[in-house]
Amino acid sequence: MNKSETSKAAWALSSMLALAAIPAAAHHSTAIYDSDNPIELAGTVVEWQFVNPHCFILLEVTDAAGERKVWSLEGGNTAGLFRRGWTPNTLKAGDAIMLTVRPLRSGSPGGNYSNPRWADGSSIDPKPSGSN
Amino acid sequence: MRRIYWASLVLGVAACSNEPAETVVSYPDWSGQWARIGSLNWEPEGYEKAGPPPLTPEYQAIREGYLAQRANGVLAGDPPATCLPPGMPRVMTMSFPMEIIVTPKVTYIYADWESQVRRVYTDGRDWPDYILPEFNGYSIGQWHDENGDGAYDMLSIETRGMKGPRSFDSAAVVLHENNETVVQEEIRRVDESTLEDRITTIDDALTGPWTVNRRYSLEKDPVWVEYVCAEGNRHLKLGDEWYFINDETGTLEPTRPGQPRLVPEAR
Repeated sequence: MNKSETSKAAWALSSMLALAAIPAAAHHSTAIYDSDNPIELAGTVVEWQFVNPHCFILLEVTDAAGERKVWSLEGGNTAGLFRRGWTPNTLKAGDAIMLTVRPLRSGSPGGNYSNPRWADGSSIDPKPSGSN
Repeated sequence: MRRIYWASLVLGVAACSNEPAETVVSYPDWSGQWARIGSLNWEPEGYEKAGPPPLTPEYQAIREGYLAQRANGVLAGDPPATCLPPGMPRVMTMSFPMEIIVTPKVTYIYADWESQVRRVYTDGRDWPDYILPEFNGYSIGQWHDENGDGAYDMLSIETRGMKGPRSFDSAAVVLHENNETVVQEEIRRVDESTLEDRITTIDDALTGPWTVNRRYSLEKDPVWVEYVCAEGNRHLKLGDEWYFINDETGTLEPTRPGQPRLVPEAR
């Protein structure tokens, strides 16, 4: 599947991937995110921000009621991601991706992501942890 | 191990004059990129394994208060979340790698985290009458030849004059607000690829001096990446409230249930 072909984002809730949701070392506490109740988000990239202290994916997601929202999703830092092969060009607007997300405890459309995948389920990580 | 000989040129000049020759001193070569080994907790093994931090009852209660707030989505007790520098001693956790530049009068410890630089003066100076408080404090060091081979191999450091707020780590373990912290360190290379910093912190938030051994590994293929925290930070503290900056909508999103969303009045 072409990663840009998915026309509509899917929305699903899941706690099955809780262990996979533990992020790389952060420079601060992640208390604002609900680690106990991770969710799965699938959507379309609006913008990929390769910045510090954390890179952000702005992801447009359509929920079960058909409402579209843009989620601000915090990831790792540029140093860690660059060493794993990520660059400012890894994602582009329109890419269809899936993420495991620890959402803001407040319920606002934001969170901390891990396990980034293309729409076909393959990992986006150019060099996943453990590889050289 | 590679060494750096600083006085060889001086000695060569002295040999051609009537001036007494200086003693050749050599400093260890600690160049390269050093990456953190161990937990982001101040205890390198982590508090779950090493036990809780040795806080006074007052500061243990403060920590518990912060942790209770965190359970509700508030980033309490973690100053770097707003891009404040970690300060001493937390910077030595090295969430990101460090570089050490040794010169005879000053050793520079460069931390990629917040692009922070520590200057450790080894020129024999005494403490100044007044120290302008800084997050990393004011550091005076002294070189030692531990194995007696005539070459320096250990740097001891004392740091005073820190400012706050500071925490030991992101686990809500904060230093005393009086900022009368004293940090004593001994940095030595324990093998070709490992550097150790034995760090003792004396602070009124603690029941006594707290010593940890932080270690760092020498990266074989170092990559340095700029770190500017203000570039994309989304965490904002206004008074006692924390917000999540939503750049796209121009709003401040709540981080805890029941907290109002802030929308600029002009909108």
